[in-house]
Amino acid sequence: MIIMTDDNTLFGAVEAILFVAGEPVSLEELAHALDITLLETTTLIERMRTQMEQQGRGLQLFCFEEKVQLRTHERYAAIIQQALRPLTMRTLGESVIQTLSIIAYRQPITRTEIEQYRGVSCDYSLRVLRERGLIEPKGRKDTIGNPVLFGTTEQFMRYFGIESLCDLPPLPNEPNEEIIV
Amino acid sequence: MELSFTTSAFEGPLDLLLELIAKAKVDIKDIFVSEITEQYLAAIARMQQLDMDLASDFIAMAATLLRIKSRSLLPSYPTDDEGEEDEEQRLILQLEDYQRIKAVTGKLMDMADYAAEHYFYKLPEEFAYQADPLDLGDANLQTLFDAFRQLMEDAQREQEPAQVNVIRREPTSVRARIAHIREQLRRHGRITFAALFTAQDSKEEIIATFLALLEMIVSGEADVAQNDQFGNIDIFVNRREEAK
Repeated sequence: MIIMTDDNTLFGAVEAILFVAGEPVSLEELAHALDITLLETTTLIERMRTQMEQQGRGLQLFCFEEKVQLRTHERYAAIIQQALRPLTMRTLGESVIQTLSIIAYRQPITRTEIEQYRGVSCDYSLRVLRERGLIEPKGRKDTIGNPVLFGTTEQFMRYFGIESLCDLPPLPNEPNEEIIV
Repeated sequence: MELSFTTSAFEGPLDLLLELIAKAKVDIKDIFVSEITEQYLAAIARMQQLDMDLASDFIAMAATLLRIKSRSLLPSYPTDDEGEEDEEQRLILQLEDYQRIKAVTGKLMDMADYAAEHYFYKLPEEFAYQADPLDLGDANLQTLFDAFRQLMEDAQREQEPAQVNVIRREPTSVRARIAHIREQLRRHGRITFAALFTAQDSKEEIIATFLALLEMIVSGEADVAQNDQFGNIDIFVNRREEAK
């Protein structure tokens, strides 16, 4: 077992793990690998993010839902595009985003419920969203016909660059349910 | 009141209603005391005029609006009141919900644009190398058409040699040339090889004449003689033939 005491070694270890994983790695897995507590891991990741930002690194840590993933800094978006010419995915149309936001704010939700919000059919939007991996079935509603309930995915978090559903912009004029008396 | 909007922009009846409400500057809750119903009907009538394939959703909404409106015009009976209130309330809630969703849609789209500036681990479909984009210069529809026409003409021309290859009946038959040479020999007794050809002779005629000559030599009808190298070739009637 390698004993890691200083931050720099730990940073290096996290970076190496995340590089090889490619996919998001949970804080728990990291804590286990580094043999530190979950709380220590959380603060470590926080320090690491700050340091990477300060050093102007090409990579940054993207944290969401208790997971961490490496991604490039937006500062280098143009240079990546110039060097590698990534195929840019077609951006989603407004109607598709509307359907997606209904799902995001009201999940889990059935197709019929989504259509009630928009007042129009959502077949196309739902198909596009599933193809893009932005939504997925989260089970079935215990009602007549047992319709599929849809919810958002990890890809949804990446697509909007949010770390949790709480980071979604608040719906206007909505009574705040989180008021602590 | 003059209304102007782009019809194709409406996602559905709720979208259209919200647009009308915004234009009329009324509160969603007041839509049934305003002229929104009339404006909605006028709007979908215009959409039909524009030959839009009007979705049934729009018509269903028109029916709902008319039903609510007509009920409000009739003296209310206590028993009916609840259903009416429900339908109205439901529509108002639906509109409010939809308005909220619409309001965040723009923000979400901005967030997605910003998030797209971050690249994750290499995804094969995301990083396929692409060739440099083609520089079309100042090409326009006309240049494209010209290029296409040129191409078609070239293609046609390339096909022409194939037509030449079709075996045609030889215009000058070897037999006719033999007759001609024989005539010349009878008239002059002795002719030069060069005299058999004229400058106007086509390739086929030259070949036919030459073949005719060879034929006559083989059959022993004519004979040739060349006195010095590269000198004139004389053609004359074979003496044995003559003796016959």
